[in-house]
Formats: sequence, C-alpha cells, structure tokens
Amino acid sequence: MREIRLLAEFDSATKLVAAVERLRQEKYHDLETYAPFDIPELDAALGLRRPRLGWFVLAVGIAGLAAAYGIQWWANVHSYPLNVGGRPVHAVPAFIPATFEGTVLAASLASFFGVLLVLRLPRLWSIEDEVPGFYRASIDRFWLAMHTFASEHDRAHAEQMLRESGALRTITRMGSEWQSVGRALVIAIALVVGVSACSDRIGQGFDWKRMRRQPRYQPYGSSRFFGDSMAMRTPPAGTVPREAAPPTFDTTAADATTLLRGGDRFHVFCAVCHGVAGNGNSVVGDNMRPTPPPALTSAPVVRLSATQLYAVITDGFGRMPAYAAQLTPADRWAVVTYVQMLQRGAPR
Amino acid sequence: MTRVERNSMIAGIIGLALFVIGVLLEPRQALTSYVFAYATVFTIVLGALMQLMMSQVTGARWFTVMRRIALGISGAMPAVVVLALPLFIGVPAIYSWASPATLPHATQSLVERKVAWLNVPFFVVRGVVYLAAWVLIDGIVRHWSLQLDGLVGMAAADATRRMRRLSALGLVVVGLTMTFASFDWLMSLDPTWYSTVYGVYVFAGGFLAALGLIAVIGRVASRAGASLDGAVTPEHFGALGKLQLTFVIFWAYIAFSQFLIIWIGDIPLDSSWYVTRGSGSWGTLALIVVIGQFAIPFLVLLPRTTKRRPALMWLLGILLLVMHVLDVYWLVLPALHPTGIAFSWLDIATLLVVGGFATSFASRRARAVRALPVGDPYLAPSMRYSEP
Repeated sequence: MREIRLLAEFDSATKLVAAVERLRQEKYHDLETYAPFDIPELDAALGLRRPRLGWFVLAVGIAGLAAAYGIQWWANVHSYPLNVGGRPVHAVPAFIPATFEGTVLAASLASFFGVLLVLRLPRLWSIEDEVPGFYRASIDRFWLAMHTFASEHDRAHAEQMLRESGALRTITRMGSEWQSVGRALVIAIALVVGVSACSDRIGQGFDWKRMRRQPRYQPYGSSRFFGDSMAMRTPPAGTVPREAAPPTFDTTAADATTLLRGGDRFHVFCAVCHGVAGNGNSVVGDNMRPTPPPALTSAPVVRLSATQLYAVITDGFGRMPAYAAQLTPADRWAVVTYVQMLQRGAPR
Repeated sequence: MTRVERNSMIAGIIGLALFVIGVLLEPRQALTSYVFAYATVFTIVLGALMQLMMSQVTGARWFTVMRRIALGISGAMPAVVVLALPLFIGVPAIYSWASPATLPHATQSLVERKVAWLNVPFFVVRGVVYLAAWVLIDGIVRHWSLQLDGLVGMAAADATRRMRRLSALGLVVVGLTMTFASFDWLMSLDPTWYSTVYGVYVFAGGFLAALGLIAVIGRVASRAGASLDGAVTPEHFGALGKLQLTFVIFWAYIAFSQFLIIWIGDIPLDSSWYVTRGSGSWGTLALIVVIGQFAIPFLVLLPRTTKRRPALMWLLGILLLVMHVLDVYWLVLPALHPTGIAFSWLDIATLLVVGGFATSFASRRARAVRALPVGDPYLAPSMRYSEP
C-alpha cells in the first residue's frame, strides 16, 4: 500500500497535545506522535486504551502449562513408564516444577514477542527516517504523523489545522513501508536458501578429502622429477625480480602521492606498535615492556639514514619482524618518506 | 476509647475468662490452642513490621501513604510480648520434648539427642531474646517514624536515610529471630520432625496475612470522610495487590518446595508430618488452604483491574486473614489431634484472647499517631503515585 504521510513539527509538548485534541475532534483518528519524553496527557488526548496483551499472554501461558504437563505425562505415563522407588508413575508433585517453568517460559516469550508484534517492531525503515531534522524528536522537538487520508482535500484540511495549532512546519511524504518489508523478506529468504545450500556434513556428503589430497610439492619436499631431487627450483642466473628495490631513493624530493601512500601504509603496519604519531604511544607498545618499540622521533632513530630505515623495514630489527612480505619496495620507501616527515620537528 | 478498642478489649476479656476455665479443665488442649492463636497473631504483627522495614529499604514510595497502617499493626508488639507468657509457663503441657520420659521408646532416643537445644531454661532464654529483639526494633522504627513528623528539609532527608539503614539491619535480625522462633514454638511441637525452610514458610504466611490486613484497614480508612480519604487511591491498592500477588506465589513456592522434597525423599521420619496433615480431615483442610491462600488469590490478583478495586481488595484481605488462621491451625493442632480435626471451643477462646488484646492495644496506640507520615519527603510523590 502506498501511503501519504503528513508530518508536523512542534516545539512544545503543549502544542502537540492541543493539536492532537483538535484533530481528534475533527474525526482524524489515525495519529502517531513522537516525543523525547513521556507525556501523560498525550495518552488521554490520543484516546489510547490499555493494551489487551494480557489475555494473549494468559492464553499462551496456559498452553505452556498444558504442554509442559503433557510432555511429562506422555513420557512418564504413556511412552516410558518407570517405577521409581514405588512412587506412582503419574507423579503429580514431581511434574509441578517443570510445569511451572513451562508456564512462565511460554508466558514471558508471549509477552516479549507480543510487544514486538503489537508495536510492529523491529521497524527497519519508515518514511519519517527520510525527513531531515526528524531526529530531533529524540532531543527537543515533538512530531505528529498522520496517514491514510480520504481525499486530497482531507489532507489539505488537516495540514491547515496543524498550521493553526502552531506547527513549525508540515511535510508531506509518500512511500510504502511494505516495499522495504518486502525487500527485507526477499533478502532474508535468499540468505536462508543460500546458507541451507551448504552442507555441514563435511567429508560425508561431499568429497572434501579429494581436494585436500592434491598432487603437489610441500616446502622443502623432495622431487623425483628433477635430477638434484629438489622440489623448489632456483631462478635461472640473471633473473630480475618484477619489483626490484630501487637502491636509493631521494626522500626529500618525494611527491605528495608518495607521502600519502606512505602515511596510509604507516597507519596500517607501523602505527599499531610505534603509535599514530610515531612517538611510541600505543597499546601494543605498552604491552611489549620491558623492550617497547622505540619512538621514531627519538634521537637514535632520527639519526638513522633513509637507507638504514629502509633496511630495518625490509629485514626487521630486534623484536620488529621483517615487513618485506607486506610492503613492496616502493611502499617501503614511501613509509620511510612518511617517517622522516614525522621526524621533522624532533631534536637531532 | 474508640469502638474498635472497646469491643476488642471486651472480646479479649471474655476470651481470657474462657481460657482460664479451659486451662483448669483440659490444660493440654487449652495451651496448644493458645500456641495456635499466638502464632496466628505474632506472625501478622511481625509481617507488618517487616513490610515497614522492607518499604524503607526498597524505597517504595507508593507505600508511604499506607505506612501508618502497617505501623498501627506493628504497634501491637508490646502486647505480643506480654501475651507470650502462657507459652513459657505452659511449656511442660504443650511440648512433648519437655518430658521425654513420656514419649514412645523409638522417639525418645531421638529427642534425647536434641536436649542441648530443646530444654526448658534455654527455650525460655531464647524466647526472651526473640521478643526483646522485636520489641526493640519496633520501638526504634516507631520512635523514628513519629519523630519524622516534626522534621523538614535536610533533617527529614537525613532521618529517612537513617531509617533505611536501620531497616536493612532490622530485616536481618527479624528474619533470623522469626525463623528460630517458629522452630522453637511451632516446629518443636513434633520434636522428631524438622524442615529448614519452615521458618520461611511461617514468615510467608504471616507476611501475606499482614498485607491482607493492610488492605482491609486501607479500605476502611480510605472511605469518604475517613482518615485516609483522598490519600489512598486505587493506584495504591493496585500496587499493594501486586505485592500480594508476589507473596501469594512466594508462599505457594515455599510450601510446595518443602512438600516436594519430603514427598520425593519418602523417608518415614520426614513424611510422617505430611501423612498426619494430609490424611482425613486434615487433608481436606490442607486443600482448603491451598485453594484459599493460593489458587483463589492468584486468579483474583492476576488482572490489573481487580487489584484496583478497594472493595474487592478488602474482601480478599479478609480471605487471606481467614486462610492464615486455618494455615496456622493446620500447622499446630495436628500435634495434639493426629487422627483428624477435633474442633474445640478453646480454639476460638484463645484467638479472642490474643487477637482481642493485641487489636485493642494496637488501636489504642494508633490513636495518638497521625494517619499520614507528614514529615516524610516521599509523602507527596506517594500521594501522586500512579501505577505504570
């Protein structure tokens, strides 16, 4: 159902209550209000009755009682009667605790889900969410929403009355909650279908072992194919790696792109221990005592040349592991550039 | 002298005369009936005292307008202390453990092992300690509560806080002494039988009856023109009803726990207590108590609307009081008449003695007290209280 929603914003609870009272006099009954706090007068103005959830809870509670007692009766009297020390098979006192628990469980679940049902929760989306400034309904503004109008004239009349009641502004929105509900439902069904396609019986229904036992060489395994029986081959002489490290790099002449890339990598790999500012302040660093990672802005580190920094990143130093696998040579130089930038203000 | 005061005094005097004749004619029956009557009343008075302290500890604002009702009931405490006298004087006639030689051989050896606890001098000393603790706590609660009437501002807030702390301590003391008192005065009627939850059972019954009595008095006092007219509203009855519902369930829970454990254990020494009380006319009485103190109040108190009707709460209060009388009767008298209910005119006479004098004393004391705790900082919120 496509609905038209008329929304009005008020700056006081009194005005909201007055507007509600006026609209209800004019036989507008489909009103919804939003306020940052509980307004007792509003319940009366909206003509809200006490919820009748109690009857539902009672009914489900009694059903829970019957079910709990029934299960015990069925198991102990009908399905599998056992003589326990001469006590009767239909042992009413022994059945009561579980019956009590069953009643309480059913009743509390009924009230929990009953509330969700009555309030139509959880609500993933509503038209109000798209109104700018609507969030102030939880801070200092009072909103009123109306929908399902008989005619355009009807809607215009309501809008006029809202204005007269002191509304700061009125907004008309169109949309349908059922669209979003439908969308959510489709996604949920697709997820359920997708998940249920996976078998949890690994190794039983599907032959996973065959995939694990592929013909392949293990590291340092021997090979019967090559004469020297080595599985890992040495690259031919004169092979150049695709990403060769530039032997030197002028960090002082680096461009902004390099610096930004360096900062990005620094925050991913270095900042966890050396701190975001490179001053050694980090949770991980604190936990590495008594040999915490040094502040990159400390004098011994500042005195290191760009090449030395590059070497430390590539091969590691002390408790710092090598980052050659994570950072390409170009990235390493970028990080060095960034570190040197951090060191600019540090005393030498 | 008000009408209640005079009438209950007359009832007490008539009861006392009958009781004295009864003691001369059939002392064992008269004194056992007295234990029943005394236990009925002292549990209600202690229940009111506990509710007073409980409302302080939990900060229950709804109860502030009704607090003086509970204070009125617990005002019977000094009378309760005096009325304990026949209990101590009559020990040899009431309790079989006082003369083990007369017991059957099998039970005799069992009872003799308990002689370190169950002997007359120690029994009296313990009784004096319980009664002293109760009268002291009631005295302090009453004194501070009345003192609050003349206080305002920070002084009133401080007094309230002090009362709260005392109440927390008092609850522990009353809880323990009440447990031991019910062990001594009631459970030892059957000296071979014991149940650790017995004290809680006695408390639950008395507390429930006290809540019933508060509802009865609350209804009478909140009628047009009465002292609490306009202060106690259906909102307060609704809250009181919720508390009653809780303790209806609590009582049933405790009663059933005790029964289930003994039933499932099926040990002759334990189950004999229930065999006596569960067969014949005692069994019928047990059923009546379960229906009247659990099933009916539970169903009546379940909906919101019923709890908010003062007249219905009055009726339910009467039912709870009657059921408490029957409950204690069922606890005490089978010790004397194990084969079945043997109603005696002394059951009524003793109830008149204890109930009459306690009521008369309490209402005489309540005359000098304001109907509302005017100095209590929570009185205004309490009068405005509305059920969520």
